[in-house]
Amino acid sequence: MRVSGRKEGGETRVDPWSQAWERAAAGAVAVVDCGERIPCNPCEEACTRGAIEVGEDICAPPRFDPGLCDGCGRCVAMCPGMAVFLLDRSVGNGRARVTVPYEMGEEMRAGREVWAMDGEGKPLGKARVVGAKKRGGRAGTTLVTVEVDEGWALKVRGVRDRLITLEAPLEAEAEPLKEYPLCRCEEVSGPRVGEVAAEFASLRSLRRFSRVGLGYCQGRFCQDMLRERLARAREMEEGEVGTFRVRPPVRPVKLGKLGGEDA
Amino acid sequence: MGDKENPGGRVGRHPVLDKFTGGREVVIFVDGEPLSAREGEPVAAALYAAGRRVTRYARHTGEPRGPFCMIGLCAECCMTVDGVSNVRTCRIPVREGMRVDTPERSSG
Repeated sequence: MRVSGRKEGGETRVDPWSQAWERAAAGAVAVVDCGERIPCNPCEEACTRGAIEVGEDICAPPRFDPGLCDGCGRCVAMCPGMAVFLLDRSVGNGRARVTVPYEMGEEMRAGREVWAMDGEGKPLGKARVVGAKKRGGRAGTTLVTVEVDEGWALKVRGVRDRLITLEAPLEAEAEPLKEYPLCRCEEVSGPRVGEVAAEFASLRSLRRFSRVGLGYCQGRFCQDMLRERLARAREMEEGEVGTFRVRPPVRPVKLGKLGGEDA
Repeated sequence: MGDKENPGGRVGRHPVLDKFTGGREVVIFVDGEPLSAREGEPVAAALYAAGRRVTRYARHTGEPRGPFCMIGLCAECCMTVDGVSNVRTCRIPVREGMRVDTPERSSG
């Protein structure tokens, strides 16, 4: 079958996803699904076999070499973003076992029926838990192994307790709010921003006009929402509408403190 | 209020964080009224556990506001602590005898 792998810019080496898929025929192998440029490397630390490498630039997405992986699952438990899973196709018969981290309260044990969820939190289908073990790393992370159809083995990113999903709809139908604060400090509502956003070509000019982002939090809370809103109103890319100028200090500090006052 | 997993309305057993072990029980004063709290927990957590949801009132509209982001960004939980105004109560640990007051309402 065709494996939907990741293209790595211009590199000719074998796609690690295809490699993992082949190798998983003989037993569990880790698959790292991390494309985030964030300063994070516990996966590299967790691997005792050097199969995962972040390298000098700590923001670089990890490179993984399925050829070196022995499927121990340490990286699965360690990744704070839950971006690593184990794939095992050795069961055959068109079935595959996928091991994902689970950090909710319900106890997971073999035999339990759960929903297998994809990376966007949508249920792929029912799956049976064939193994669950507490693993090191952070407190409370359980490695849950489910058996699923081989066809969606690469899509499973998590499991969800089946009872909970059946009793409550996944997403409640919400009516759009008529009035809600967007800039909480200066009390500028979402609809108000919507009314005026299209008049301004940059986040800074929107701020000067409407006072959004000028309050106590200085835009720490609302800036991303404002940028998204403004970009949508102007039909621009989010990068094009700019940012508030970032001024030190990073945290709120009383002026008195800067002036040398104690306490 | 609360049970073994949620002592006094607090999250006792969190799936990821360490177990809540408590902290000494101390008394703080909220708008002059004594309130039992755990030493070291965020002031906002003590208020929340006591059932208090409103920390301040919006300057212009006068709407009640309460802790929202719980991580020190949104400034909704700001109160006057020991006479210092605009203190984010979600970021300030409880100390014995501390005074926490609702900021004065202003007409903006």
